[in-house]
Amino acid sequence: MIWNEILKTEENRKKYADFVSRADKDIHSFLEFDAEKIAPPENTEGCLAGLPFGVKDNIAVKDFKLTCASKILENFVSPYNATAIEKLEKAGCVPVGKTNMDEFGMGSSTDCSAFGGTNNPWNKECVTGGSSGGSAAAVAAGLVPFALGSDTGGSVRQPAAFCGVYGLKPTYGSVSRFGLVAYASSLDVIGVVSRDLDLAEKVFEVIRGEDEKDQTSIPYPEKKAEPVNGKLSFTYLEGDLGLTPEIEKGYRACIQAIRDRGFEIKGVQIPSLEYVIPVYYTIATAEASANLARFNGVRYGYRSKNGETPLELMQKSRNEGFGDEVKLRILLGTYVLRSGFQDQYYGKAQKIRTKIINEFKDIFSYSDIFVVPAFPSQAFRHGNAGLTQYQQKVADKFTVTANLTGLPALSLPVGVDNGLPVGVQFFADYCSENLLFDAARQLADVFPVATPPGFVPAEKIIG
Amino acid sequence: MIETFIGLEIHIQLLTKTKIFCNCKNEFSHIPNTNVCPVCMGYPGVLPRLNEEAVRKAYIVCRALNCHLNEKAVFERKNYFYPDLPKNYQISQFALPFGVNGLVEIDGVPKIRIHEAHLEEDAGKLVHEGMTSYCDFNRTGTPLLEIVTEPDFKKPEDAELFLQNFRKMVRYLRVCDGNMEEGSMRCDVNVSVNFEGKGLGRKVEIKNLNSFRHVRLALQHEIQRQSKMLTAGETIVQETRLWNDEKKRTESMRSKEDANDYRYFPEPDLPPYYPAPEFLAAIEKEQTELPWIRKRRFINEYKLADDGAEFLTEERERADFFEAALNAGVSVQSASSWMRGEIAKGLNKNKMSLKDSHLTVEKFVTLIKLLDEGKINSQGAKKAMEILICEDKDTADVIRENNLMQMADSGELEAVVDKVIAGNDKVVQQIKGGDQKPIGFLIGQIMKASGGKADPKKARELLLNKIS
Amino acid sequence: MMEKEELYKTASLARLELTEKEADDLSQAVSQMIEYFSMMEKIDVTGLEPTTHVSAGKNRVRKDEIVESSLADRMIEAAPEHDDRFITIPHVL
Repeated sequence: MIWNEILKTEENRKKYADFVSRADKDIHSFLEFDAEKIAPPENTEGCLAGLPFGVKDNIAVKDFKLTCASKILENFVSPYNATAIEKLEKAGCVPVGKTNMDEFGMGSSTDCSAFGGTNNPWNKECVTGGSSGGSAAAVAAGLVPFALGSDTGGSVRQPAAFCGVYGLKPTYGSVSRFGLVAYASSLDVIGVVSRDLDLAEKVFEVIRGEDEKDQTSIPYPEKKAEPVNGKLSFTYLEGDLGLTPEIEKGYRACIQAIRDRGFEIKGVQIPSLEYVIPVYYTIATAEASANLARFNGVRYGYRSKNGETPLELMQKSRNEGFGDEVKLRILLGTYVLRSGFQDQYYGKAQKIRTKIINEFKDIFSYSDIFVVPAFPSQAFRHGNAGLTQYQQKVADKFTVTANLTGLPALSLPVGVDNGLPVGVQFFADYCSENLLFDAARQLADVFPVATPPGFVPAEKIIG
Repeated sequence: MIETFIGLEIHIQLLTKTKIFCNCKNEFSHIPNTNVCPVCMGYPGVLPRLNEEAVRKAYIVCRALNCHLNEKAVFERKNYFYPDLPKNYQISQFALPFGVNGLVEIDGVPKIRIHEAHLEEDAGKLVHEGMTSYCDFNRTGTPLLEIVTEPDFKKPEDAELFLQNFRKMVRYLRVCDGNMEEGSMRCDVNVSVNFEGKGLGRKVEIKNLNSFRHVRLALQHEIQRQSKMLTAGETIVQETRLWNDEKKRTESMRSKEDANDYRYFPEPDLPPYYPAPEFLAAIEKEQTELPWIRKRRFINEYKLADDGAEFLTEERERADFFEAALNAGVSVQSASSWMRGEIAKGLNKNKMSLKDSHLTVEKFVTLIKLLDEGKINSQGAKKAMEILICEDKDTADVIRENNLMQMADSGELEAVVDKVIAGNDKVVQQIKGGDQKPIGFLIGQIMKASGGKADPKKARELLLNKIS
Repeated sequence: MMEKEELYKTASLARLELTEKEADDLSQAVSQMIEYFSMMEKIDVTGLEPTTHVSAGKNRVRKDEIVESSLADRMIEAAPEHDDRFITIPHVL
């Protein structure tokens, strides 16, 4: 791999920085990319040493901005590193910039960034998906070998699918959330985007593990998960899934490829799928309403100049600092927690969540990998020509279950149709990420990662 | 007849080295925003880390209050905006606190049921001056245990007595210093009145009570106010009132905002807590005889009067000292009178507590033995005690260095007596003439001339022998 | 459709000060989602406990040891306004 040469000399670092600045002009995957901040790696040993990587702008990198693509944190600079960043730096990786996203992770397009959307490297008219759209785009365009994102309801997997790369959403708690700005704490997890399956797995192996700074983090088992029947076995979601023809075709092709490889795969139904969206949005917005309460203009971040009392200051700072989608979700979350409504909404959703968990437990009692589309459509167009915010939310139904259950999931490219990538995702049992990677490797030569137009391979950047 | 219902909400700051959810010092500081870190400042991306010592101390209190300990305890977010609350939610407990359904029985107070005891974080401080509010987050994240009683008190005096005992209890348990002036123990009260037999009335909460006296005065005033309204057929508003100590009355806290809705929900950043059997066994070991129980025992076992027992059980160290002295053979009478007398006086003079003085039980016991054996006289013992309290010295050394041993040698004493007789001829003649009164004066002269070392009994014997 | 008054009450709890126009736009979107949420009503959850935490951990605590943060001064500097070491906010009566 050439990527670990790229930061070795000052000359290379300069060439690299110039390349990214040029290439990102019409993609806008980075919110902050400062050649000055690119340092030589901390460690030169090991397989990840020297690799540059992008970081979603809701993950803290010391002395980099941490805006969450929100006006309310526009000038906020992080005084600390997320645990995942500490671990990667120790392994010799170098964070080179902060990637664009939907404000506070709330969106499926990255168009909800306060600093302008990101364009899909495959087709600039289209969105990258979201909310980790900047990370997916930067990886797809070959600006970094991998990037970190965060996944609360599909925010790593869906943009990865839209951009034709791999996107891992790890088991809840397996990667420390310390340094990840919370959207919905019981659903959030830091994930990895890469064009290289082995690299994604290695990065995951580095960042996972129990952390004393996150008391919901879990010790990752030393022993690799084994297939339940000795050999990988698959299930897939069957029925009328409401997919676009391109996705339907790719999904079928994937199932066929699994069968062709000699694996057992059978169709299952998930009755709860019908109501996962209300459950997800109830829980996510409830938690978000509290998580985003800390942004009030008092201690840091944007402060309105129009507040004359503490109450006014908080209200105006929040009102001027947050975008519409964030306000909508805060309102929803506040509403479903209000006394008189809480049992009906939040309380009920938490019980249905248990039901959903039980359905997946059942599936993983007899099979290893559950195959499901990543999103009902390919990358849609920016603005009015695309999906409305409501349509986007409804379409999250295939991804949110991994967050509600805490299960690991990997989205993988299964070809390109009409000039845009098609993605599917695999789910596995808790702490069985190795099976996700094994399964994806089985299909890697059937569905190789494609390159978007104008893609520059790493060796050409410094060559 | 009007019936009164009083309930208490007591907050105690737990004595831990660090804050409840971060490693910042849990310590008062005059310099604003020094004991702060991204966690207690509510920075983005940080997470709470529960302090095991706060948990331990909270359980010690729950157990002392005879609470039922929930098998599973859950932290929850209590959502409300205030500039002194960095996250704009307080991590607290709601549906499943550590302890529920406790009971406290203190002599002289009706049985008080404890509704719950829950662990939470304290907020920061705001100071308003001119057109600015100044925010200091040093106090943010101090571990707080909130104890809520049922409305079982009938009289303000009962509430006051309960609080005094409660304060002693938390000090006995070494979980809180109980300092109401500094706010490490705070109390809000709720009170309602109703015609007898009609049950609870409309509850009024009173805040801003900085001492036990304020609690009593505020309750007395409020009960009077509500009773008048009730009798006059007026409607009592359910509200929060503040105690105005200057005007000696409660005042309505004009609510600036509409009724709060705290929207409690389980804190996703902290897993539930299940107290393990080994943990609970360790909590059991930390239990100690509570002050009001110890006092009752002192009265029964040592036949002490109420005020004596009250004094001796005021502090755990004091009661321990007393009983240790008894165990070492000091009599109840002697230990109690020394502790209430010279020791209290000496500590007071040096503004010390027993704990931070140099006096130990061993030093005290040695001193009393020497006194009982007549090796020193009471004057010498008192002088020695003064030194033992503020200097780190052995009893024997203090006595030797200050020459406090009694004149055991009668030859030496005789010389002093002779000298006094010779120098007071007129008085001696008076005595010889049958007037007994000046004997005391002569003994005083002997004591003075001996530098206090003479044994007054022996001196008297010798004097009378020589005169008659 | 959610009553305007409910929306304002919710906004006030969330410390969002909505303009008339925002209230109009948002009440539409909020109502649409709340309506969607109400489909949970018909789901039978008898006997199910709520899931509030998905990771298996419990009783996570840390030692009571002081680690002084080196960031106090930096955080004061980062505040929108401060007076010496106090973080300040306007309080016009």
